[in-house]
Amino acid sequence: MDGSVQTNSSHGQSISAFLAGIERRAFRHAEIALKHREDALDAVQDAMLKLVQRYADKPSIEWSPLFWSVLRSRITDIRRRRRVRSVLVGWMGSTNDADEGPVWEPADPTPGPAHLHSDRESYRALSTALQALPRRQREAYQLRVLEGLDVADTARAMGCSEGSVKTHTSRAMDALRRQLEDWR
Amino acid sequence: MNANDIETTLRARAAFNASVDSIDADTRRRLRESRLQAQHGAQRRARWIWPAGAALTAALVLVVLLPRTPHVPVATAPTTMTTIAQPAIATTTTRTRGDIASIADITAPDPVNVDAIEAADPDMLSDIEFYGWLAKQPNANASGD
Repeated sequence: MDGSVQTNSSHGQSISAFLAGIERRAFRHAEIALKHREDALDAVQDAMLKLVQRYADKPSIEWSPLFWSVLRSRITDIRRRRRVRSVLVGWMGSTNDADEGPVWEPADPTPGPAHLHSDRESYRALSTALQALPRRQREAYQLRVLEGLDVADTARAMGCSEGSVKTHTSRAMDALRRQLEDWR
Repeated sequence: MNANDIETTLRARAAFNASVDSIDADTRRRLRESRLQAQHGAQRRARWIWPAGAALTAALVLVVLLPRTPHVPVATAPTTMTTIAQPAIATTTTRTRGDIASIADITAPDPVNVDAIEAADPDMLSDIEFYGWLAKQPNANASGD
C-alpha cells in the first residue's frame, strides 16, 4: 500500500510529484472561489488527502480531473458551511456577514519591478472578474481555460455533460471579455 | 473564438501563472506541509487499516460462532449414541439409504480390532457385518418397511 501511495507504477508518475506540481495552482483557484486564504489552504489540503487516500491507485492520467473534482466539492462544502454559519450568526443577532468571509485581496506582498506590478494588477482584475461570474461558469473557465483541461476532463471534474461545459465556458468568456475590456 | 477572446485568454493565463509563481514563502511552506501530511496521513491509514480490518473480521467470526459453541457437545453426544445404539430403528423407519450408509461407515468394524470384538461379543460382530451388508443392498430403504 505504501508503494501505491507514492507511485503509480503503470504510469511511473509519483503522486507526490503530481501534487507538488498542482498545489499552488489549486491554492489560487480555491482562493479565488473562497476569497479566504486559510479556507483555501484547508480546501487544498483536504483535496490532496482525499486524492492520496482514495485515488492513488488510479492511473496517473486520471489524477488531474479527480483532484479538481475533489477540490471543487471541498470548496462547495466550505461555502455551504459558511452559509449555515451565516444563518446561525444571523439568528444570534450579529450583523457580520460570514458568507463572504474577510475582505480578500489577492495575496502578493512582494514588491517587484514594473512588469510584476502589471501582472499583479492583471491578476487582481482577473480574480475580481472571475468572482463576479456564476459559480458554474467560473469553474468551467478555471478548469478549461486556466488549467487547460479538455472538455471531457472538465466535465468529469464538474460532474456535468460536455455540452454544459462548452456552454458555461462560452458564457464565462463572453462575460470576462466585457469585464476585462481594459486589457485591450 | 475571436481575436478578443484569444487575447483575453492569453492574458488571463499569463496573469494567473504569474500569480502562482508569486505565491509567498509562507503559503508555499504550508502547501508543502499539507502535501506531506496528506501522504503521511494516507500511509498511517494504510498501516492501521489492515490490522483493524483483521480485528473486525475476527470479532465478527466470534460473534457468529460463539452462540453455536454450546450446541456442539450437546448435539454431538446424542447423535453418536443414536447412530451406534439404534441401528435397528434406522432400518425400520424413514431413514434414507444415505443415512444407513453413513451409519454403516461409522459402525464398520475396524480390521485391526475384529479379533478383539469377536472375542468379546461374537453377536456384535455379526450385527455389524449385517448392517454393513444391508447398507450395500439396493433396496435397503424399502426392505424394512
